Amino acid sequence: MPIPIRPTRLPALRLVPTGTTGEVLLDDVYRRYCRYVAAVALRLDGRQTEVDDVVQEVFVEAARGIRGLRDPEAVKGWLATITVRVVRQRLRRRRMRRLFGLDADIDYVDLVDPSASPVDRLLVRAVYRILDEMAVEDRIAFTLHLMEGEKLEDVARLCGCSCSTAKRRIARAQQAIEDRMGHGV
Amino acid sequence: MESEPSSELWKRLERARTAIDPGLSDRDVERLVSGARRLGRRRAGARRALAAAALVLLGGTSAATVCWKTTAGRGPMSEATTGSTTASTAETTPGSTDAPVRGETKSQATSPAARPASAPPLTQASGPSTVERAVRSPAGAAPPPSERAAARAVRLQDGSVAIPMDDGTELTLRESSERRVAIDLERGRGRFEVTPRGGRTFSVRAGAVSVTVLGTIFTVERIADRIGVGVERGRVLVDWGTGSTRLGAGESGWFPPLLVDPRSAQRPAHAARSLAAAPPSRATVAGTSAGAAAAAEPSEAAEPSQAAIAALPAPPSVGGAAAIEPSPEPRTSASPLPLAGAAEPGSASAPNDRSTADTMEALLAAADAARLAGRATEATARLRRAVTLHPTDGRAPLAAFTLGRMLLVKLGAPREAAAAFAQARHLAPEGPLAEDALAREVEAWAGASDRAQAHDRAAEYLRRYPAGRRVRTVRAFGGLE
Repeated sequence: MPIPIRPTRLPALRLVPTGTTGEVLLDDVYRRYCRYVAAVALRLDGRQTEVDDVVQEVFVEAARGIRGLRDPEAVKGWLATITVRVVRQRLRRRRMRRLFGLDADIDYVDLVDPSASPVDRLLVRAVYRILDEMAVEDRIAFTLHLMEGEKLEDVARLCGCSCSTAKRRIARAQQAIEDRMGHGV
Repeated sequence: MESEPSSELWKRLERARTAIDPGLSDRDVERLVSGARRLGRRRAGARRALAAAALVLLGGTSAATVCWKTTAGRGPMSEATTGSTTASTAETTPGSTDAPVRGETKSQATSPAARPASAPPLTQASGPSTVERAVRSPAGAAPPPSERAAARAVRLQDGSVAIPMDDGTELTLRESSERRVAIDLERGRGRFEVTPRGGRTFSVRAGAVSVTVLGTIFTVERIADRIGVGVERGRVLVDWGTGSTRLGAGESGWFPPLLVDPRSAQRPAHAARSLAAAPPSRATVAGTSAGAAAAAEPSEAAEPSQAAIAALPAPPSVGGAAAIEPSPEPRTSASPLPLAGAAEPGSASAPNDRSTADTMEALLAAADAARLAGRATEATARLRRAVTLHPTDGRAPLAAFTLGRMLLVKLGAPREAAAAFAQARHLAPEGPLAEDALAREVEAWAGASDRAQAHDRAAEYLRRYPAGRRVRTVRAFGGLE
């Protein structure tokens, strides 16, 4: 009888915010959530080349605030919040650069794994190109909900807005994508 | 789908999102973790420097305070009076758990008058202690880094001076007695001016290598497990456990050496004596002035060559540096490798040493040192020479690859970089760097806006490495999407 393979459960994270253990704690947090933060960053930002910078930026911010964190269970969500904040800043800067013609267009060829179907790859590529032209807040809400699979209330929490605002932003983004791509894609 | 076109779109998008994943390997994770750690330290250092500068700018004639934390009860760290620096306070903090001597600015103004001029040395402290010194800076101007470093100098009880060379330097006073002073360099660079004193040894340990001094001035820097030693005056005996070497005035090197001359295994008698009362691997400096360098955390700049040097096969003449290019004089130990800033071959301070300086390991070490010091042009010159003079050496592909990276990333010369990557492949078509070199070549041609070459090389990559690590990047740069 086949034995089901389950993901290894990591031991509970302990928050010991003093002395040298602070460094150990940070490394533990970094390693544990590095892939998660990178995945969120990639889906939000869309640029593979920026992921390293975003992840490191997130962890540097996390290092400054982790001592104030009391609940180990909250680390993941807290890192997601920081990731959203960092990516939001980058997207805004990118938008500004584009306004002055300083940001090169990217066609998101690296975004989707080559093993994905060509249709999916084309779809994601097209969606991200549309997202580039969208308001940053709408883009983030949409990406968190559709691409990251977050629930509406989590999207609202991560975006720092009410549920109804988050819903409006997502709807606006969906409408823009539908308008651009047409129906029946 | 016809009835609910948009929901079909979102469903398809939700399905496709699983394919959006950075796919980090364990190695990537470690790289990012260490990168974040380094970035955090850099930012913290920058913040501290900014705060100190702001304090000086805003405070006018008020003094900025530099805080030194010393290991308790061991050190005769007393007040320092170096240059424009005036010692002001010394206080003990028995409850503190911080052991290292760390040079970090503290945003706290301290009046020089707050402490009597004849404060007792910290040897009397029973617990971890802190020395705080007031740094007088010209009103309205923040001191440059070199001055800041000099301002953090700590004068020991016997008149010797320890100077951290940058903000990240961490020194620990491990032992201090009439017969011995021992300092650990945890990270960064430090310069030590040691007052000659018979019967007392002064040693600085950096990782596996120690430098023991009998009346000298020396600097210590640490880069990962590589320890650089340079001598300003006098003679130095460097011992790394499995070998030792003497360095004279103006000489320098990286230790342990990449290739060990068998003759270095014979340890000189006085080195053995110094080892008897010291940690297993150490360097002994006997003379009037010496310099040493060691680093606690891996340097990003040093990453490719040092890691790859270890991974690559040894050159045909494994017997040692002397076997590759015989030195006119037999050395008692592994050949010293020139540091950045060390005397150029053939210069007045290193006469008739061209053959030694042109060995593969010397050129690679010099290139590494130049890269770490930010002298990209010098580094590329060394690497070019290494590839030209030693094309059959096992490390030549690595040198060519590193050269390509320097040209591409640091010097913005993509065409030359492409040539270097091509040479790296040519030197070892089936070597461990061949795939990366080809991928980088594609990137370099794309950077040079030569689409045809980029396309051709990309096609070659996909043909040779259809499941390669860099397929996506190569496709993008080669315009094959």
